[in-house]
Amino acid sequence: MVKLPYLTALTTLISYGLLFLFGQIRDLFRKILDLLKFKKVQGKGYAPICLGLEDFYTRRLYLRIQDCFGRPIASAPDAWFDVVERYSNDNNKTLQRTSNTTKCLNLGSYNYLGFAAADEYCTPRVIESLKKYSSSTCSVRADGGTTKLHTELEELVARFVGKPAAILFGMGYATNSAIIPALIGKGGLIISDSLNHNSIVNGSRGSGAVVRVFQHNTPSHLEEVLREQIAEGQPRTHRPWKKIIVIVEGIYSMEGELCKLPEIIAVCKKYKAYTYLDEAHSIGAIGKSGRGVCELLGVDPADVDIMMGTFTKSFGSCGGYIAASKEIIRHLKHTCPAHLYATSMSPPAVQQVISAIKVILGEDGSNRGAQKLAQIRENSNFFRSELQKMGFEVLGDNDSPVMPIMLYNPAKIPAFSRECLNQNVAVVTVAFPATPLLLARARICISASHTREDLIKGLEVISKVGDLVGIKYFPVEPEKVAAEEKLKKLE
Amino acid sequence: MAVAVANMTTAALDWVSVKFNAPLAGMVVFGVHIHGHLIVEVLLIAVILFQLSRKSYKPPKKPLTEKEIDDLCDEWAPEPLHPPITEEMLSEPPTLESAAGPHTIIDGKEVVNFASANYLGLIGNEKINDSCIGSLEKYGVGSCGPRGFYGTIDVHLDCEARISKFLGTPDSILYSYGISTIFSVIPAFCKKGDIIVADEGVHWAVQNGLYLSRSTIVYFKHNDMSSLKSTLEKVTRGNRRAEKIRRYIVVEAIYQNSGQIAPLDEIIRLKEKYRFRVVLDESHSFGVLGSSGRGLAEHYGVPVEKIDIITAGMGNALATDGGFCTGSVRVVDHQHLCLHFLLVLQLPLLIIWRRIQLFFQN
Repeated sequence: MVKLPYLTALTTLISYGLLFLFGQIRDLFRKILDLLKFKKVQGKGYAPICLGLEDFYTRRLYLRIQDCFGRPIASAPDAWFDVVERYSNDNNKTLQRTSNTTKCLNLGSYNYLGFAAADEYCTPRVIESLKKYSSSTCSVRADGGTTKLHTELEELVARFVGKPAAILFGMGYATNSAIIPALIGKGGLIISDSLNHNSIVNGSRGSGAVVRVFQHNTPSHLEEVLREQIAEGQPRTHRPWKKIIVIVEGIYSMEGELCKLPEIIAVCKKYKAYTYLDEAHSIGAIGKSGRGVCELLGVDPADVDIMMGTFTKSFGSCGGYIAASKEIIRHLKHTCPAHLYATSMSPPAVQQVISAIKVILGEDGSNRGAQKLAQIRENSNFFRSELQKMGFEVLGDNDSPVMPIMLYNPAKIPAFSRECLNQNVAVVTVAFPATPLLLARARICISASHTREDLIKGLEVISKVGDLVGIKYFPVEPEKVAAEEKLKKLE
Repeated sequence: MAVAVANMTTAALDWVSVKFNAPLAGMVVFGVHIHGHLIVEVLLIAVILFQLSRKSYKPPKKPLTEKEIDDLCDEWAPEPLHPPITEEMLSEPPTLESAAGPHTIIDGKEVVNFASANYLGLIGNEKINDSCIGSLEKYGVGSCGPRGFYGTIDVHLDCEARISKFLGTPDSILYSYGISTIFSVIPAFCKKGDIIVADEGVHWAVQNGLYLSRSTIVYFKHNDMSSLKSTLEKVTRGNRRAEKIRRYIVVEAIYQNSGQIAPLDEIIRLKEKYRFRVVLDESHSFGVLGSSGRGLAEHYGVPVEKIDIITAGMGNALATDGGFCTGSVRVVDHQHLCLHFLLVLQLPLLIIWRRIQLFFQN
């Protein structure tokens, strides 16, 4: 968790207060101007689509820095890509595309193993499957959308992850939102980490179960909550809970931290709660053979009841999967609405995942998979240690390819983003509502396709921009380390 | 006799007053003359204050001891995560061994395919496959990021522009999963306190969207315009506040569950009379209805500006993955910050772009 120094908190709050004030003044002028002009609202008698304060944040704060988000690209999201230039004639309210592009270093896409661009093993096979199965099946899985590729991938995923069976979905976000209501309903309890992703929050809300939150990554608090809830029972009737599911993520995308999986599993086993592990960012990216956080932390996959993951990040495709015991998968195939009503995954995308997993496992006959995994681990650790030496406040654990750099102040968000883009480095900045209001950050995602030179260039640019913007909150590593190295060289 | 009683009572009262007043007669405290009744009043106030200051009677709370909690936890047994597996659940769907075109191969046999929603027969089209291969080699398969963080490829933007141009609407936005289009659009616009009048026979995704929006939902009989009229009448009659609340009608163009077509001209007439906004789901009618495939509005000859929000899943006629939503600029802009349309696969989107080009050529 991030500890916010008081001075920074104060200055950030003052900045937001000023922005809010200016926004309100502008709204006031807008109201006066509208009254004066007797602007006829589209159709008299219709209530406006958005009332006053509902989209205040979007209109007055987000739109000012709109050019930092949603930047279009004109090539594959590889280590270097082409960012399309945009300009605005009305102070960022609308943005127009040009046809100019700049080649930038990509530090923002979730391309952990480098499968985003055309790959020598994967792409020919994808093209073949496109010719054979065409681009879509036009029907739902239950009716005629299941092809041989789908069944092959389900078996492969189950083998890769270490579970008996798996089921596929066309979109990672929808996997969580559709599965959680199928597993638990009214009378059940969901205990989820306080920093869980929006898809899990939506799925929990949609299920109808009672949701309780435990402090981020704190197994002792989880135990307290579990004891209290089991002893109390359901809220007003005090009947015992039907079932309890604890939902955690492998790598938290906004923090870059790994979850304390062994302790959490031990607590859940003791209190007979089911565990649901969301490995969206960690599958394929960490662990010695890419099998995710279970392998890295030495947890037996049989101890986790349900493992969920997505194919968008490490495998360069789209979609999500759930891996669990055969009976649970059978039940899900029968009840889950995303399986029964949604068009099945596109066959070329399925083939891409199959090929990517084969490369990672080494079944394509080369050791590119092992090389990629070693490369991403080395890259992440190198980048993180360098950033910390330079004095940035970097979150996250070692080995995790996601690195948030704290910015805090709202003005530093566009400053950092635009300055980096001017120097041809593309970074991603996140602010409210994806993070808490005061804790805005820039998030770096390292890929296995970044070479050492790319990383060094990125570090140089970030260091320069960091000095300019003023985000080196920690003291720079003292010079004595450099002096020691000089001594060693002399000797 | 009565006079005597009266005299006696007066004498008694006088005696009591004298007795009361006597000790304090003439007493002056802080310049205030003390009379007997003041003592009674002070005593009363003192008693009231005393009672108020006492703790109210509550049965004492005894929290559970650690041992009791341990026992409860040991006793508690959860239900299994899945219900018992029945015979029905064990049935497997057919596995295709070739493309899901009009003829497909299942278990080595060639069969006629009546299951896929391949309305325009675009599966297996040579031109489209060639352009897909080109885009695959250029852009890869996935876009590796949400729309806000370098997941927007110029092809997506071109596609959105093409769709709007084709349909004649100001702007449009793409979603990456067909069914999640409608159940993201509805909660983005309808919040708690709004009124939605929806058809009874809408499919699961629409029902889910209605549930997620937490608005007040009123259903009308499936595809029955008189029922819709009476429902709208009932909802707006006498409701002064109805002016301020947002009101929506949610219908599908071709109902997935029953195959009926919604009479759009009637709906637009009713909508303008009662001032509702229309959300139309054109998943099965886009590319199918209308002389050039522009959907329900063309089929009925209704100008497309009258429909406020049109959504469609592209998994049917367009034979690709994903969905889109079109409407006025305000409508589309509002959705840009609402989530749910994250990672997009652009391979099929390039397909769609080509397909719409084909429509123009046709």
